[in-house]
Amino acid sequence: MPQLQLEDITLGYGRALVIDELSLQVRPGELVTILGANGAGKTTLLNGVAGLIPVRSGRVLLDGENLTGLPPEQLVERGVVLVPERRELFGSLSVETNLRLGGYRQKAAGAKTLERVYTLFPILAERRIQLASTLSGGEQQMLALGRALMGSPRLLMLDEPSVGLAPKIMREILEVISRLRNEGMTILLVEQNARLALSLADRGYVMEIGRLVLEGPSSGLINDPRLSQAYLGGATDYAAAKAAAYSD
Amino acid sequence: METVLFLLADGITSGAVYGLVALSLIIVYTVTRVVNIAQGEYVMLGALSFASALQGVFPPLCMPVVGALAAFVVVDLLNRHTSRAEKIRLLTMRAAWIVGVLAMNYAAYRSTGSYWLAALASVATTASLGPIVHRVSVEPAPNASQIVLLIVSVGVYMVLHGTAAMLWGTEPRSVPPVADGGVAIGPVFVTYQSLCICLLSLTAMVALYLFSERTLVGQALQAVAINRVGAQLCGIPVRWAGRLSFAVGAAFSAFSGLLLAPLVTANYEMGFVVGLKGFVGAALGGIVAYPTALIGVGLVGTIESFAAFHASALRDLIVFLLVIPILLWRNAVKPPQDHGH
Amino acid sequence: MKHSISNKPAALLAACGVFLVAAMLAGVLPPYYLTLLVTVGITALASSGLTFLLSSGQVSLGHAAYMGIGAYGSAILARDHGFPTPLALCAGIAAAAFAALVVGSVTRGLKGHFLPLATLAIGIATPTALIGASSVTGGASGFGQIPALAIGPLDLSSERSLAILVWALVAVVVGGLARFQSSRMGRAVSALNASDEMAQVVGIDTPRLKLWVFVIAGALAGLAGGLYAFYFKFVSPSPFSLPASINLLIACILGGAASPFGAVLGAIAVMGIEIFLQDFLARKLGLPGHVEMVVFGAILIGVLLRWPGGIWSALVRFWPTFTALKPDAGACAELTPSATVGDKPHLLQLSGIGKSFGGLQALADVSFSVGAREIVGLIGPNGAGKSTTFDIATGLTQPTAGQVLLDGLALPAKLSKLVELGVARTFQHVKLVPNLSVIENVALGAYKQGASGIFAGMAGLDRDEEAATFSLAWRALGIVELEALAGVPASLLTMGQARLVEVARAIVSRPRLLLLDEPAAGLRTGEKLKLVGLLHRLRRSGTAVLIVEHDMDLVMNCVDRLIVLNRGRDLSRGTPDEVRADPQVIAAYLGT
Repeated sequence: MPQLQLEDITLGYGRALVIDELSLQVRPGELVTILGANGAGKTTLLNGVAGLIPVRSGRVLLDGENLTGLPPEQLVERGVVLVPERRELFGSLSVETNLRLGGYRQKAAGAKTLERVYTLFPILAERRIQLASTLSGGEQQMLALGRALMGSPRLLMLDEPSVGLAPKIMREILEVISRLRNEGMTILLVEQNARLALSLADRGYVMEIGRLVLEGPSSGLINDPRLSQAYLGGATDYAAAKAAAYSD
Repeated sequence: METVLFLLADGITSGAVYGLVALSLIIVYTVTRVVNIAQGEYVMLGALSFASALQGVFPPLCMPVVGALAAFVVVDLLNRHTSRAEKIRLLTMRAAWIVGVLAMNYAAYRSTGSYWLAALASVATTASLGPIVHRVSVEPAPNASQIVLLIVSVGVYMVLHGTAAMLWGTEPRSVPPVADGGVAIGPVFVTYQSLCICLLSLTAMVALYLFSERTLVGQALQAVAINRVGAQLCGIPVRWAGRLSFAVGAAFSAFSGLLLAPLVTANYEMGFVVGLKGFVGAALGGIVAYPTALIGVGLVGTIESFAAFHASALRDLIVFLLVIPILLWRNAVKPPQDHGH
Repeated sequence: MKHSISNKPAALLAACGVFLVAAMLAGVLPPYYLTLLVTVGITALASSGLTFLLSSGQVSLGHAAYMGIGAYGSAILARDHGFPTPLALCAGIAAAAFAALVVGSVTRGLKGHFLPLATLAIGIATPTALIGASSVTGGASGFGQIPALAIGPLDLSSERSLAILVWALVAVVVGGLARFQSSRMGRAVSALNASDEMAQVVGIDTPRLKLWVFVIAGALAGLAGGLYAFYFKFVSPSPFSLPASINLLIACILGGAASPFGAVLGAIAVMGIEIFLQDFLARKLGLPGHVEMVVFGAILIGVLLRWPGGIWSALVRFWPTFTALKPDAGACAELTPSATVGDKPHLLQLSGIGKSFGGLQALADVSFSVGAREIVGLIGPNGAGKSTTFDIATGLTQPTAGQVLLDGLALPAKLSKLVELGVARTFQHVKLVPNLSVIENVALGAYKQGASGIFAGMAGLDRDEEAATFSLAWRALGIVELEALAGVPASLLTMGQARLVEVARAIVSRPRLLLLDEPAAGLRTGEKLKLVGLLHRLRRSGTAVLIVEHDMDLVMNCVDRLIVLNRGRDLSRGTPDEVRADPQVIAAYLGT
């Protein structure tokens, strides 16, 4: 039974329709990546699954349980945790407070999980009393990931964790993600850096303007010419439109 | 010199009371973004409930509050979206809450003159009004603009004000102070009540500080105020946070009413001006920061004292006119940031 | 589709209707109700000014203060200094307007919640001052014996005639404000409310306009106050105190802040509910006055939670539809760049641009130029610094190193000057005015090409200019092929349509340099084809275009040259084919 199943999801902001009848699945223990150029709708998709945007039609199922329409706090309780693109940390609170708040719904396991997060990210332990806003970009990303882990997720979703980070830190974070997958966590990773994401993932989907255009095991995708086309173009034929502009 | 000290003491005492109200406004505003025009009414309701309990009358506010709580329990139980386990948990907690409020009021009623029971009952009952008001006036319109919510809070003010008059009439009720007499501190004679006000206000503020900074629940409230989306992603329910902030706000306002009542009597009109001065103090101090707001209200209280002494007719004018230069100064030094919601 | 606000004939008819009904009532009502009629009229007048203020995105929590200044000013001058009453009334209005000017100027820089607080302070301070200055104002008890208003040969001493005057003014003001909404300055005020940045980009001097609106709102309150003084022949501080200010706000919001008619509706509603409650609850049911207050509060809460837009929003469905008439084909103007462009190869030039935020170096040594008749694309992976570069190129941000030259000169300090220099831009997050129709949004782009002021807009003296403006707007809308959507409110557009409308707004100002920020985001394929065709036509007519985009297909097909950024630096440049084949670029995008 797949861990996460999206069936014909349609969602968008206000009147704008961003995702149009999209279906995908993530099996237990898999690391699946969603690739695509900026503007393809990847963030919107994750926000919809996390309950931040209403799902207009379709279903979101976790282990067969229908989660469609639940507010974010209840999704977190059921183990669906998102690390958003902008991290959304509490800048004026300390690192440790940020982490503890991540464990808000899992109060019982709190102390143990905190220790685990500190083991994964020693630098956070070092800076535990510092305010979150004083951390560097990479450290903030680690904090965001650590905070998400405090929620003991069954499904961890990451929205472009590598954006704006120096390559070295990027690798550190992706290493942690890989470690988590090896320990059996189910992960849905949205990334712009296709090569890096595919080097970690089991399978990948490629999105373009709200729809999936490509999917398959990562080894296959890496060499697929259609992948670079999704990023660097080549699919639409603009010749006629251009010609018309110069003809009259 | 004596006069100055006396005025200072007087100013600090007023400032302490306004400070509690300012904190109430801040908590409500930062978590829910509502400018609560009705905040002063909780001051009045707390004071009047206190007066009733001390006089051996069953506090009139208890039954309406309990009734509303019960009505909401019914509404929540009928909600199809919540699980059975959730509903049982909800029922247990709400029942305990209702029974608690009833018990406290009954105990206060039975032991006439018991200061502390009366205080407990009146604060608990008024605080329970907070989440009820939030459910009725904020939750139904989550996308309303701030100005609309402000006018809605004016409506709440009217409802609370009218209800108070219906329950208690408009006659002021005197409330005995904690203890009669006072003590001489240097050249100034300070009443025990004033000392009590300052000490208890300080204790309350410290308690709030500890709550916000040291408990997970308090930190969760701060989190909602700082970054709503981030809080949602941590699983913190924002609606609950709104209700809790209203409850804490109501509690603090009611508490300030208790402290103030022996000085000015528990009266029907006390809420408006105290609320307003609390608002000014909160905004002067920076409506989103607890510590500086206290400086703000201290300032308001002190200026008021001195101004009243020297030119009583213009007292209020001076206080309110000084707001603008202070705002300009604060804006230049550190403009208010938009804590995005 | 429905578009209620801009319907000019309907607005005028409604205003006339209001006056006629009120005048008839003024003729027949018994004295008690006549006073109520006048009170409603005065409240409506002051509230309409407040609604006007709210429509510009500002707020005044102590607005009755200006009524008080108008009332006391007129009364004192008429009674104690022998001013002829019409002059005294005008002086009262001027005093209120002046007070608003002072408050508005002083509080100009206040941000966030400080501004409403300052207005609240004024609202409390003014009545307190009136009480305090008792030698002049009679203190808390006020004073009476104010002479009757007499305008020339018209004897307005009877209460009925004054009532008619009040409502005539209400009709004129409300009709004028309604008409104003669909004029050049009216669109500018709506733009202020929607986005300060966008308003500046189309050429509006936002601080100045905001101040003007504040002053007018104060003047209207002053007028209301003056009329109060001459009707009741008695002034005291309490009708102008904080509760009165709150009352004005209630009338505005309850009536509906979207239209000046809302102020009238709100004033009527507030009075109506009060009377109904007094009559029904007090007299018929014998309940004490407090019950009225509770019920009023409950009604206020109930109505606003159900219709946050007030009574107006509930009734707006009955307002007649606005049909945007398309002018004849021949009458449409051409949209070539207004200034001669020649063949300037470096119309926009960025040299050695660097930008750091705190310790973070976002950009370093970025240089490129855009010339006439070319389309340049700025691309790069997420986080490359494209938005920062674009903001610097458009004058929104200042670089920490290097310079930006437009036609050899530095960019103007004020953003609102850019459109005069022939620069137009679109935004990454589309900024349209949601309550205006598509054609009005596009017409906003022609702001700087018009000259009708606030009063011309209210009085309807701008017919010719509006026709010309809309002719341009239709042409632009035709170019993006969205004429069918002309009457649709902008809030109902899809993302793709909204972006194209923004492009239309940009080309209406006939720019020689067009800056587009991710115009293709959210567009469907058909819309993208349209956009590419449009960009080529613009290029052909002489415009220079700089486009930041993520959609590679689109960018490769419409640009002449590409600048590729990565991690804040120049990575590569050249023609689309060159860039596409560059291994560094491929690595930057697909990762390593």
